[in-house]
Amino acid sequence: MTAPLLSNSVAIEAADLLFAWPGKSPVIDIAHFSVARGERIFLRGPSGSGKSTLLGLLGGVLNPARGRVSLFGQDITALSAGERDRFRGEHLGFIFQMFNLIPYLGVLENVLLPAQFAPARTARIPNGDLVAEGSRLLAALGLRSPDYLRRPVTQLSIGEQQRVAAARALLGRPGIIVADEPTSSLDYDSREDFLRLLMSECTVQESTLLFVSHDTSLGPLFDRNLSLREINRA
Amino acid sequence: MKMLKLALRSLRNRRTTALLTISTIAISVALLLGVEKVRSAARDGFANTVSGVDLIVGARSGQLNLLLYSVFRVGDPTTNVSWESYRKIANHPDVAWTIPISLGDSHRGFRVMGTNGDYFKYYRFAGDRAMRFTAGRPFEDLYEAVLGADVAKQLGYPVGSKIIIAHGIGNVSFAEHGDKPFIVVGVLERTGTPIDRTVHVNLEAITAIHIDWQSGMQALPGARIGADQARALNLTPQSITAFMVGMESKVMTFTMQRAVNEYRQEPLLAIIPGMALSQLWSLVGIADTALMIIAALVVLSGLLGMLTAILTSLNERRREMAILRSVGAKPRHVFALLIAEAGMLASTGVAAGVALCYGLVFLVRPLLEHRLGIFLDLGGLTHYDFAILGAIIGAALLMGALPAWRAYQNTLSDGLTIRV
Repeated sequence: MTAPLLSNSVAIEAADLLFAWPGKSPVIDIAHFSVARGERIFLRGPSGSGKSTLLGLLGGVLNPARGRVSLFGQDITALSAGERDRFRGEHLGFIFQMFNLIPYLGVLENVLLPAQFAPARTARIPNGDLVAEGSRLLAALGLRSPDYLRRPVTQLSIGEQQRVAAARALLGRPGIIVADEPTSSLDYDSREDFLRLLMSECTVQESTLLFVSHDTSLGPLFDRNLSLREINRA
Repeated sequence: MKMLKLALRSLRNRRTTALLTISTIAISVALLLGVEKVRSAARDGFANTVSGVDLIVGARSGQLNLLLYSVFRVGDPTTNVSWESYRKIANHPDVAWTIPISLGDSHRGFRVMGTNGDYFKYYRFAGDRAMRFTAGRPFEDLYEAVLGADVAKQLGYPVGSKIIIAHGIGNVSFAEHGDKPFIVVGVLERTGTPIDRTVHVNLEAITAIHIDWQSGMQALPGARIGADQARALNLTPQSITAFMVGMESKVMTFTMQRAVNEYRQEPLLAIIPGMALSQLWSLVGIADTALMIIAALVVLSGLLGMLTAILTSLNERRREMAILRSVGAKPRHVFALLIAEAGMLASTGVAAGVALCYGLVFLVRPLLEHRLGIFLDLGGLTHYDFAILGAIIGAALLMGALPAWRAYQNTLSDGLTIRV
């Protein structure tokens, strides 16, 4: 399944997508939305505009009432729930707004977590050396000191936690990185700093970046800047 | 496997709650195992009150009545067995030995039992334990007595003490055999059976102390017979209360029992002690079943404590589940994570409980043995114990399914986007 997907030039494609929570009016109604492979796209929208629902649909955790979502040419809406879980584990990396880390695991264990559920991501790591790759990613995101590897994640600052989360999302070179307001709890300077490191690592790994935020000031830093309102008819 | 590891890490992160939950389970498991151990020890001890005796023969009444007065010294016989019948059965070729028993008198609340030397030779309890003397020897002379361990201890009688036997079995008696005192010549080791509360004397001595008595009253002073005068008389009793029989061959026991029960000359009853004991235990044993039920309920409340602890943790862990989902965990992984937690809490609790139980048994064993004559087994767990422990872990896993199912449902509805 993995090989042909990576050759596809369209990373994300949603067509005729409709989703409504049970008994409510639709929150997502998208005629067409696509993201090219390697593209870095900024998707803005205020709270309640259906951002989280859209991410749930792209991640395959939610199933649309109508329409389809294709990632690298694979129609994930046609997959079973279990297959979607596996697909997500192998091809998507997520960064959330906050509380990204499992509190009882160490920094490195948090970064290496995807390898536990997605063997394909381990397979894409040079020599299969998880620890080296995890340390490399942490260093690339500005957590250079090996001291970090041993610290409990609960002792990290929010900014540091977000970098660990980004390293986890990037581990094993997933094709798509989905970032859901990852910078909204950071101050302006660290916000730009974080974004710069994230983007450069996405470039290194050739990962597509879908960045969702209500903070419009970050928009200009991306290849494409899109409002959810423009594509969502609901 | 990976979920087990995660569950372990997660529990270590919440170690205070986890340890408390484990101790609750451990204590309840220790209680349950302990009750079970004491229960089986008590049952064995009870069943072993008398052993080595094939039949007990007394006047025809009920089998429990006969067992109670002949072995437990509780209650009274309806009537006696004539000496003739006794000798006839005792002389039967299939009979190896007999122990005659004569009850009816007491000493300061303790029953006095007339018997013969075979009693110390053949009577067994707790499997194959014979009576042993802590001091002295069996009685030989007419006016000698052997005391059970409790009698000697409670009344403080050393060997050499002089005791006077009271007529009847009341705690305080106004009619005493004061003219024929006995000398304590032996004290028995503790047995944990009614032997401990019995004063043993020669069968002939029972005849001797009653020789000048009629209708529960001693003869007038002029007609009395002194202790030494009595020695010269024929002291063979007219009747005895009951007697115990040892067969030459166990196979003949049922035949003999039938023969005694159909004995024409006198209405007699022969019982097999083991069968009568288990019938009696089925009555007495209700109390220990109740105890077992209580212990089981304590285990249940321990497991409910675990359930509460896991359920309470669920809400604050929704974020954690969403993160696991985002990296590719399936809902069944989340389910497995919580089941694994329940399983680990329960099995650690059970293991600690077993250790605790053995520790306690080790500590209280000498005390129980000494005070109550209950012999606790320090040996390994029985199949029954293992079945109980397995059932506890099984129940815990079943209970763990509840939070696991809740988390599974949460996971499906939360997806990746719960905001705590």
